[in-house]
Amino acid sequence: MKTCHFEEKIDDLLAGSLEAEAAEALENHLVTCTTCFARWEEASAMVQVLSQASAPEPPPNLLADFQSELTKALASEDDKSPLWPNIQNRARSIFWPGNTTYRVLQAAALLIFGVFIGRQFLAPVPEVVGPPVPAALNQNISTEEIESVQRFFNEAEMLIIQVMNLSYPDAIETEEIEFTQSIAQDMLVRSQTMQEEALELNDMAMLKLLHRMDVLLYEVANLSGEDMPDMLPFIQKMIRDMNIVAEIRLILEETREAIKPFSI
Amino acid sequence: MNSDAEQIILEAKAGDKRAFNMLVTQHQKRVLYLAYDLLGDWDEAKDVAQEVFVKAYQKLDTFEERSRFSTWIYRITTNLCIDIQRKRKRNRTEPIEKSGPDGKLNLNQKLSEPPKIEALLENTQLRRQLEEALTQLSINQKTAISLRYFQEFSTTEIAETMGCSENTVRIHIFRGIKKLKTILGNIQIS
Ligand SMILES: [Zn+2]
Repeated sequence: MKTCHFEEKIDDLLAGSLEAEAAEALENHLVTCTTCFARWEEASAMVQVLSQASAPEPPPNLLADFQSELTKALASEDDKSPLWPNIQNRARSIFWPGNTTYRVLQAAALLIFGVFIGRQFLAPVPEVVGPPVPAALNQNISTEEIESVQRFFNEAEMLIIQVMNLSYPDAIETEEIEFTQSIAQDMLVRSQTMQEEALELNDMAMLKLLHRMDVLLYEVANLSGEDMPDMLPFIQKMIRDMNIVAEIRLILEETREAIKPFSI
Repeated sequence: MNSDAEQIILEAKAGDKRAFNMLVTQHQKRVLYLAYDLLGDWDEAKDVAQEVFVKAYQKLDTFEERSRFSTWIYRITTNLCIDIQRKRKRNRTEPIEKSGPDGKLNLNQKLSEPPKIEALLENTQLRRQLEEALTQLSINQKTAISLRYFQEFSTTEIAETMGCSENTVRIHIFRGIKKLKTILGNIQIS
């Protein structure tokens, strides 16, 4: 079992004997440290109460009723068209907050976009020697493709600024939160397509950046109004810690360089 | 995943209804209990469980074997229950009693008598009291806590089921527990 030097302070936290500032710092650490979280779970009386609460007893006929109803429902499914699930159903499930799971999105990205844009630019690239160069900078890529990378990261930058400026509860009243969420959901879908492309190009630097972006997009896409007071500061802190804006600006600069017309 | 389980899933994917029924038998209780934990009503839990298996039947071809079938089926269950709870929250006619004008929880609304832990553990009403208190948490907090302490999922499994990061799962649990303490009063282990 790993140890952590914050561990010994957890009893003090639970006993309420830490100063407010120290308590807050420890709480912030606790949710990112598996060791301290496990220690907190062990020591928390409320967690013990929850864990020991006896399982509820279902009414006597519940299971039998469930089984007979399910048998009927499945039989009627067999009569339906095999075309289910169709594209609309899948698309609807992505844009329904709460269902934005990775795999649904991946499937949807394939369905919605069908064939990846610009297949022609997916030609194999020779082994990269030296530090990895983002695909956007590769000479073999069309201007159109570089522009699409540029668009994505331009939007990413704007989204991040938008998220940093969100505040609770104003963002709920102005419906800003829904707007931000829908952008993040849309970008998550597009990110999947870009990742496929980066993978085919063997562009690990781009892939890594997109994965890091995904973590962020994921959290923003799932940010619900009622969790905002807890989650928004966490996401904003994450953005600061990740230092992702600097990376995005670097990529943007490089893409601008790459498509700059030759000067005479 | 052991090879027997894999075989059953492959057969079910190929359209073998008997294999699919075996999957139902394996998972039905857990799905029912999970839906009950999240909804607090056995009839609704039964309807959700039915919808879960019908959905699984329809979408089995999209299930990728590299993830676990149980995780997949619990994710469908959790998503359906979260949708139901969202609709309930939207349609609730008496939200003013439980929330302030800004939608924040009114923390002055504690249970009349803060129970002591010994009493709680002996009390047959414990589960009901906890369920009552859990309804005052956010849907994500309630879901994460139910999965963790009633269904004994690991935080990794919860993250997969809820479609978020493990850090987010821990935040939901931690904040939820803090809120529960405020609602139920500060219980002390003697
Ligand atoms: Zn730690």
